[in-house]
Order: sequence, then C-alpha cells, then structure tokens
Amino acid sequence: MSEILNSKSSYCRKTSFWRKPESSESTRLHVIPLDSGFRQNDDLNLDDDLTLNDGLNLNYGVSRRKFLKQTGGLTFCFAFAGFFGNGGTYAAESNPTPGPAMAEFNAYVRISPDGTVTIINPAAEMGQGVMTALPVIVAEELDVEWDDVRIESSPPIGEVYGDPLFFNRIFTTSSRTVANYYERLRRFGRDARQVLLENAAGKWGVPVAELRTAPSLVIHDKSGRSISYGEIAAFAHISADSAAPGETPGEIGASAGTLDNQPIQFKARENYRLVGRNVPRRDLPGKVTGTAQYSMDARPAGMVYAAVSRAPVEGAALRAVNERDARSISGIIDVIKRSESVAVVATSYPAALKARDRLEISWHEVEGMSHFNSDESMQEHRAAARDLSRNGFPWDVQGDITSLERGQNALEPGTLRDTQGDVAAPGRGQVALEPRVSRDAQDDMSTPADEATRVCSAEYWTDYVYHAQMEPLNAVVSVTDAGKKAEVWAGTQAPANTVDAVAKILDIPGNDVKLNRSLLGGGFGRRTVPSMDFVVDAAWLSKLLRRPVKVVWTREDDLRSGHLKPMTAHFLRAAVDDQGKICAWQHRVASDEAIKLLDRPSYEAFGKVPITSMLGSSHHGMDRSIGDAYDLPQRLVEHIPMDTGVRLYPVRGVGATPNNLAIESFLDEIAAQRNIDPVDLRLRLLHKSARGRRIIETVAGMADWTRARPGRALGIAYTHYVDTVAAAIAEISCDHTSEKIIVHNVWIAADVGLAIQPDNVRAQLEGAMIHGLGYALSERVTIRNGLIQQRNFHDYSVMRMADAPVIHVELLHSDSAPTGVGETGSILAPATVANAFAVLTGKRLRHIPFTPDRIRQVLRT
Amino acid sequence: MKYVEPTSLSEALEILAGDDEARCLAGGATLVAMLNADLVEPSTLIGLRRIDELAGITATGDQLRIGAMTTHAQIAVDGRLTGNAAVVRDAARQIAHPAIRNMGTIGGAICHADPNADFPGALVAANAVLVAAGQSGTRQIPADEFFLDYLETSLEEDEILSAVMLPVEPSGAGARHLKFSRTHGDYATVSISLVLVLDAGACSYARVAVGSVGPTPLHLTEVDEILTGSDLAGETIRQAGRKLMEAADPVDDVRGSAEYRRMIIPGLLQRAVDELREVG
Amino acid sequence: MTDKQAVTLSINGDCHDVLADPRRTLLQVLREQLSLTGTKCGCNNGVCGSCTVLIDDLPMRACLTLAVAATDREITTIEGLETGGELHPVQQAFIEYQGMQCGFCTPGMVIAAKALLDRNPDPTLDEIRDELSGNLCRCTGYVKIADAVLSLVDADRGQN
Repeated sequence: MSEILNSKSSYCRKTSFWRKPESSESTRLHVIPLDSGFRQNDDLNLDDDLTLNDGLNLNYGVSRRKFLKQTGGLTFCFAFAGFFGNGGTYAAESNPTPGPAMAEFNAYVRISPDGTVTIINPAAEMGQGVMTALPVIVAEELDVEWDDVRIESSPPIGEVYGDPLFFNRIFTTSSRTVANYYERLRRFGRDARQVLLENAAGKWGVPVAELRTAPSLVIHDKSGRSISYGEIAAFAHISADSAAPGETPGEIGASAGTLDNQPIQFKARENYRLVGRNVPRRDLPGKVTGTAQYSMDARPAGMVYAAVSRAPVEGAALRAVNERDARSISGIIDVIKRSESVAVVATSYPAALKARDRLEISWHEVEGMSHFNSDESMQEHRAAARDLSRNGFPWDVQGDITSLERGQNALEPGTLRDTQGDVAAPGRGQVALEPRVSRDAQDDMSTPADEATRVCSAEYWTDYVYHAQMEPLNAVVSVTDAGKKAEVWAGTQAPANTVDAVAKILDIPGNDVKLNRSLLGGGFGRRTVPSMDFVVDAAWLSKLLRRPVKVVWTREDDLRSGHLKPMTAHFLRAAVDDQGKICAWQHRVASDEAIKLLDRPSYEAFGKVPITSMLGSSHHGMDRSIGDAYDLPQRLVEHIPMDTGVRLYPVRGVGATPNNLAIESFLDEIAAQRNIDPVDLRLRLLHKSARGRRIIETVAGMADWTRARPGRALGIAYTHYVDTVAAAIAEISCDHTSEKIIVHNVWIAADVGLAIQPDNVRAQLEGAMIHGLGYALSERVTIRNGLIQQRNFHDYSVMRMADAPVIHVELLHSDSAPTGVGETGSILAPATVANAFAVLTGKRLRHIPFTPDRIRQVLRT
Repeated sequence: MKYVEPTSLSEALEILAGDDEARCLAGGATLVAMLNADLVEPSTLIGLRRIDELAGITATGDQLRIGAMTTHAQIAVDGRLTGNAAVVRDAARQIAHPAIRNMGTIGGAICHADPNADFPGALVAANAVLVAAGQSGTRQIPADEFFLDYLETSLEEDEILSAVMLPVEPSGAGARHLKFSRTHGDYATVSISLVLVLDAGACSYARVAVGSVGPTPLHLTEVDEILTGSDLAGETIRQAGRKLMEAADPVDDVRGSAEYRRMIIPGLLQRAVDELREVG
Repeated sequence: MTDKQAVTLSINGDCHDVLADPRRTLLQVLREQLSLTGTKCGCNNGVCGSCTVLIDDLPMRACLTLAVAATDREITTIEGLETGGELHPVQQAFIEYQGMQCGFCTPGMVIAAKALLDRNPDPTLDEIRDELSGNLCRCTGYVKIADAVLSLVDADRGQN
C-alpha cells in the first residue's frame, strides 16, 4: 500500500481521496484458506459473509472490517498474486496529469473551467462497451450534459480503480464489470454533484437545499441564477473528505454521502436521461475509421520486431536450438533464448517470422505430456464421472455443509446414500430408466417414493475450445534507463497482472513499469493470465536489446499456445416420481480445473477448489438461498478432479457452459420420459422464483413455443448466472443429407436488472449466443502427443454470418441493480440446440461440438 | 526473390524455362498464403496478371474458352456458362467468400490441385479440356487426366496452364455442383458435380464426379453408365451412390471422418438429381 | 534474396512510392511501411477477412496480395472511406446500429459491406449474410451488422 502512496502518479500523490487502511491486515486476505476445504472452519459463517460458490461469488455487502472481525480466528495469508495481481505496485502515468486549472472532484471525476467533464473508466474496453457504460453511470448521477464528458482510461491503481469483487484489482472479466462498479460509480457521480451544489451554495450564500441541477448547470430557482459546472470548477473548494472513497465499496463516498446528516438521494430512475437510453458508444467512431489503437498498432520510435517460439507444453524447458538457417535470413538482429522461449528479433516482422520458422528447436519433455491425447483423456474423464466409487469434491449439497464434510471423509465406495440421504441406486448407461430398488435410500428421501419412482441417468461431454479473440496476442515493451524502467503497450484484461509480470521478468519494482492500456481486439478471458505470456517476451527482449520490441503472435502461435476451456464429462442421475417430481439429483463433473496450472496462486488461495469448473452447477442463488435456481431440495453436485497438464484457462462461459448443457439436457430427458412439456417442467422447478418463471414464460411466448413447425424443432435452456436470469430457445433443422444442424432462430429473454445501455446488453447476449453456438456446433481443439492440432481459422471453425441464426432478444427490466450479461448466451446455446435436436429426431446429442460426424453416429443408433 | 510481370505468354514461358525455381503467381489466394507460411521459396515469381492471352472468357464454336487468369467471381456471373458448362459456374459461386472469389483464378486453383477444392470435380464433370502452354507449343489435357494426385497435376514444370475449354455439348444439359461444408465458405467436406440431360424424365446423359473423397476427383464411367438411360429411380441412384461410396478413398481430417464422407455421397447424389429434376 | 523493388501504390487516391521486398504483402506494406494500421491482420491466411481492402473497387484480402502485384491498381483502405471529413454512410450506419464490439474485424467488415452495396444497392438479408460471411466477427451476434447494412438498403429504397 505504501508503494502506491509513494508512486509517481498524480492520483497517488494526492492521498486525500482514499484513506490508508487501518491495519496492515486489511491489505491481505480476502478469502478463506481452503486447503482442505472451507467446511472445516466451523467458526466461519459462510452463508452470511462469503460464499465461495457459484463462482467468485464473494459477498461484499459486508465491510472489510466486519469481515476481518468475523473471520479473525483464521490465518489469512492471501495475496492474489495470480488471478488478481499482487497488488500494490503500479506506475500510473498513462494519462495526462490534470492541469492546475482542472478541479479533481474525486478519483472518477474532474471538471475543467471550460466545462469539460473528465470521467475515468477503470475497466478494459474489449468490445463490451464498458468504456461508455461505466462513465454513463457516473454522468447520470452527476447530472452532466453527455457532450461535455470526456472519457479517460484509469491508471492501473487497483486500490482506487479496482473491482471490489476481485479484491480491488482491475480485472475485467467474469461478466462482472457493470454490475460490480455500478454502486461505486453512482456514488462518485452523486457525490461530485453534491460538491458542485455546495460550492454554488457557498458562492451565492444560499442553502444547498434550494439548489437543483440541470445538465451541467446548478440552478437557484428563487433568484433565477444559474452557474455552469465549468464555472464552479474554476473556484471549487474540494475537501479531502468529499473526494474520499470509503474503505469498502459499501462505504465509498460515504463521507460525502450525507447532507445535514441525511443521506443524499440518488436520482430517481424516472428522471434518468442517460441510463437506459443507449448513449452512443465513444469507442465506435475510431473503430469504423481505422484510427482506434490496439497494441497491435503501437509503433514507438526505434521499435524492432520479434517472433517467438514458446514451449509447446507448460513447463517444458528449452533443450537445444539450431539457429544456423535462421541467422541466414536478412534483417535478423539476433536469436535470443531463455528457458521458456526462443525469440528471433529482426528489423521487420516478416523477417523475424521467417527466421523463427527456420529454427530447429527441441524442448525437454514434460512427464506424460508427450503422450497426451485428448481423445484418450476424454475416455478417462468419462470413466471418472461414471465411477461412483470415486468420491468427488462436494460442491453443492442440500443441507449442512459441515455434515457433508464429515460424510465425505467417512465415505466408502457405494455408501454415498447413507450419508447424503439423497441419492438412490445408481442407474447405468445413458438415460436408463430403472425400477427404484433401494428401500433404505427411500427412507432418506424427503418425498416418499412409491413404486413408480425411478432413477434415470445420463452423460454429456464437452471438448476443448479456445478463446479465438480476433486480435492475435501481441505487446510492445520499451525498457529504458539501463533496464530499470519499462513502458508497455498491451491490451490486457488485468493491468495489475501485466505490470506484475513485466516487473518480475525485469526484476524491477512495479512502480517503474508504465502501462499504456490499449483497446483489446477481443479478450474472452485470455488476456488475464498471470504469466502474461504474450507480454513478457517483449520485456526481456527489450531489456537485452535496449530498444522497444514488439512481439506479435501469428494466429498459429495464438492457437498453439492456446489456453483452453477444459474438456468435461458429466454423469447425472435423478430419482423421479411418477408425477415427474425430481426427488433426488446428482451431478458429477469430471474436469481439470481451469486455473489450477496457469493461475496456481489463486487456485491455492481458493483452497484448491474447482472454482471455475463448477460455475453454473449449483442450484441456489448467489446468497445461497434458492434465489432463481431450480428447486432440487435433495442434491449432490460434485467435482471429480482430473489432472491433465494441459494449458487450461477460463474461456467465456467457463464451467457454466458444460454444466448448463448437462443440466438442461438432462431435464429435457426427464421431461420426455415423463411426458412433461420442457417448459412446464422448468416452470415447476422454478416455483419459488417468480423472476425465473417470468423469463421462461416470456421466452416461450417469444418463440411461440407450442406452435408446430414441420421440419424444425425448438429447444429451451435456462440459466441464472451472475444474477442475470435468462432463457433461450433455439429453432433448428437438420440437413438430412449432410446431417448438419442449421439454427434458424434464437429467442433470448433476460432479466438483467437495470440495463445501463440496453442495446449494449442486447449486443452482449447476441454475441455470446453466437460464441456459444460455435461451442455447440463447430469449435473444437484436439491434442495429440501433447500438441494442439489446430492451426488457424480454417481448422478452428468459429461461426460465420451465413450460418448464424436470427437472434431475438427481449430484456426484462427489474428494479434491481445491473447484472452480468457477458457470458449468458454462451452458456445457454449448446443445451438449446441439443434439446431442439432431441425433439426433431428423438435422438440425444451428448457431446459438443455437435459435428455432422457425431450427429450421424447418433442418428444411426 | 525477384518479381517479374511479363506481358505475353511466350515471355512468361521463357522466364519459366530459364529458372528451375521460378513459380507463376496467378490470383495469389493460395500461393501468397504459402509464401506467408514459408512453404515455398521461389527465386522468381512470375506475375501473370498482365498477359492478355490468359484473360477472359470467349465462345469459340462448340466450346467456351476460359482464360486461366479468369477469376472465380467472373466465372460465377458469366451467363454464357449454361448447360454442361453451368456446373463450373455453379462451383465458382460456392468457392470460399467474395473477397477470395475476386482474387482467385481458375488456373491458379486447378494447378494447385487441392482435392478439397470445388473446380477439379466440376471440370471433370463438365468434361473440360485443359490447355497447357509450353515453349514448343500447347497440348490439351482432359480434366480426367490432369489431376494425378494430391497437389499434383500432369502439367510439366516449364508449362503454364493457359485456358480451360468447356464443351457446350450436351447443350440441353442441366448441371449442379452440390457442396457440403462444415461452415459457410469452407472447403467441401464432400462435393458432387453432376451433369444430366433429362428427356421426359429419362436420363439420356450423365456425368458425375465427387470431390474431397480422395486425392483426385472421383469419376467412374460405370456410374455414368448406370445413370444414363435410366429413369433415375431411387434404386438406380442408390446403386450409383453405392458404387461411388465404395470407390471413394477419403481421409480423416478436421472437416469429417473418412467414414462420414463416404456415407453422405449417396444422399448428395440423390439431392443433386432431385434439384436438377425440379429445375428441369 | 531480399532485393527490394520499387513499388508505386495508389492508395486512397494518393500515390505512395515504397521500396519493398517482393515477398511483402500489401497488408504488411500498409501497416508497417505506410502506417495505415486501420487494416488488421487476424489470420494472415485469407480466412478471417480482417484485412479486406478494395482493389479496383472489389473487396480482396490484403494478406494474400503481394504489394508488387498491386501496382497500377486503385487500393482503398478503411482510412480512405471518409470524404471531406464526413464518414461514409456505411461507417455511419455501423455506428448507429452498433455493428461492432471490439472493432478489430470492423475495418474489413465495413469495406466488405461497402463493396456489397456498391455492387448491389438492394441486397436481401440472405445476400448480406452470404456476402459478409467471409468476414469473421468473434464478438457480435452478426445481427447488428446485418441491421446496419439493411438500414442503408432501406434508405436507398426511400430515395428511389
């Protein structure tokens, strides 16, 4: 923390706007040490404070102080060195220092005497529109004329601009940006407006209560006077208190948030002029004219290019390089090696590439990886999911977590039901319906089972996929001052991770790394990785060569070094009575955890739980109440860890995509077995969620669910993910010659709370749906002998426009705060297609992507 | 590497003969991609775009002459490619995407001899003759004999493909190039090129070739004979389809398994016939 | 091996003399020698469409065009669509309908859309989807891109 205070940043020199934490403890832990499971910590009331469940779902309603107090008995030693950067060390000169005449109202608002209002955007703009959406939240409460607003990217100072959920690191991911910044930004906007009012009141000698604002103006109706924000800025006195964020998100701006001890009101929603009105995105004009700057476009003076070969599998060290042929290429400056990578630096990029491709490189083998084949691994995943003697990590169980933990330790193969009380005799095979045989299990069921209760089971599988952001990864680094300082141009979702990684490889303090935050040509999670594998090579090369170095990955490099969405195998069982009521539910997910290898610090900090794998698998809301989840009161959702050594990482939709495929497909299979309409089944399961039922009913209405359509069929899926409740219906047909699925229409209904930029929300839902249909139909990475087989877009096939459906979106507004929408579509897509296909053909597709080959095999069975 | 742009075919042939490592550049859609990937390293690149003899489509009696430098886009919209020749136009329409069709040329595409491409099968079905120009003159090569193996043609190293000759006959023919690909504009997983003459429901002429199921287009005289003279009943087509399926020798790749490719041939044939019947 | 050749390129109405290795693609010359970085490289393989430019008014891939083979042709890049400081209607429509997200594919997409409308001012939705399928977009649902292009079709109809 002290490093921040001492940093060069103009923001940081002024310490007034945020308070130093009261104790050093508060800079450390923000999550529970879980190494053998948080269930052991009986003194920790998880349900109240912190839910390590359904994803990064850490309840921040509680203050940091309170949290520390409540959890004080535990040893917290947690620096999110990986996932969230280690915090604390950044330089921040990526933005101009405010001029002397510009009034800094708080960390997010500056107003200059000419009336220009600068609003700081903390998040990474990677196409999702946050560089406009976040300032709109501020501008609404500030009551400023939008044309007066200038948007500036924040320096990577996590403590000021970070996301509370990610422990105050800037970490633009997980569909969380708007939702997580909303409360803070509206307070900053409101409080800056309050400062304007107070200053105007002081100047005129009138009570603040007699003043109101119109866009960019403070008005005193009694005297008919008005004054512009810019005029106020010229003389404004801004106290340290009024510019200071509180120490926790819940308290940010709180000191300024009262007036005569009365809380200052937020603007009433009916008076909104910007929120909900689709303010034009500020990033678009540059994007249509080609002037938008990505790091790919950065060209500092004296720059040279590098093409890099990186270790083909994680952990492989360089063995030998034959560089003779490479050095014969004209334009080569040098061939430079380190353990993880070999680089060719040249005066032009084509020369660097050509020489790089002529290197003969051998790498040391990583045990097991040279024989790793994805097809074989899938068989192992499947076997693990099916093998009930293999106990999983209990992720979501109905009932008491501590008792489950005792049970888990005591469990012997085949005794699951004795302690869980919710799982009947296993069914074998896919969709096997078996007579319910176990009386003793029945005794434990909450609903008395009769002879008609049956257990059905099914399996589903998903293959590896890759991020495929359109801009191949790249970065420019200029190391100066004899290796002591660095300037970085990179498109990053995690600025802190970027600064940390560069600082580490250069062995300099993070303060001496200046990061220029470029626009991102897509992210989808790839650009958060702590190793910053696409940035660090430029840093060490620049240090050696003493000039700026640009490293550009080819698409082939990007795929070869792909950080894949894990393959998964799911085994589900349910006990279903003759009314179709699901009396017990078991969902076993076999997968390798996506952050285990490439974000080890976070993985360990989370207690080695399958944090991303199990997203979307739980049947409760974010606060652990049922929320908008299906009512499955007897359940065991468990993870069977697989250890692959493959480079895995969160990709849009993370575990929620495969889990949704499994859950929603299985429900349709149950519905079909019991002759229940899939929509009806979902409405029944959502009997405790009015929000959920409304979404199901809306989407069914949009799609005209009950209308028969010859040659086509509909399939539905539902999700409650990061507080967004959404459902989609796909209308498909299947070409009878090629057995290729054609998706004609997709209807999406989503309750996103308050939509700041509704068109943007629709854009996210539509885009993620296409992304998810890629998962469903064509995207697939295969690995042979440890190596990724795909090379470019010709064999890694993402959806093209002619293959895309028409997408219809309806947003249901509710009074709640904004919810996350970045991944929703990518979660729903595969199940909608699978369910539609089952209606169309009577056959069940279980393995995404549903390639024509696989469809053909299923149709022949 | 040196880049030259001769303005006559004879000049180009002379350069080619004088340099073993010279390569001809047509539209670039494939060769430049190979250059980018460092898969080829010619000493001289002979740009063919300024050679008038290689350009354009001309009607000469009972044949259409398509200059080797004619782009896919030009072929796709040329109304003279009717009847038998329409199968080539139909194929051109389905190659990749507009920007590629504006660049790629028929000469470049067929000299590359990618068995997954659309033109090879279509040219075989159209009974096309390919004109190879050498310093000592030209020779005419039936499409059936042009494609020798994967990426291998019967063109000699010092020859340049100058034109594709498409017979207008049989004039009453209907033609269809039917392509199945995983995603829009991708190479075919399987394609079928079919030329038929229908006389009151009976088939008086048939020529069919299948692409992407082996190193060269699959064409069986036996299959043409099964169809010719038949009334194209379902069983006849199934029989023809089975023959093609049995003779196919596809590979497993990312676009589909060998088995899958084989299995969908009969259905594609049936559909091609159905579509031509509907039109006819 | 790397004998450079003098190349004169006509780009957006201006003539540029560059000395280029004959192996250099138009894309490389645009981006690295002429600082016209609006044209993007997403695959360098002709598959993604991010580098689409107009050559003699036809959309083509700059990554598959050798600079030396682009002489005597009129090249239009995304930087050349504005006239007199005014955005081209296609650019305006893409903004209005939010036909982009990350924007990396957008220059190629806008160029392809312009070429389509120049050739066929009245395309159907299916024609738009077919014609623009050579341009991959990883962010959008393609819906808003189609809407942007359709809006220009309607506008033209209105004028007629």
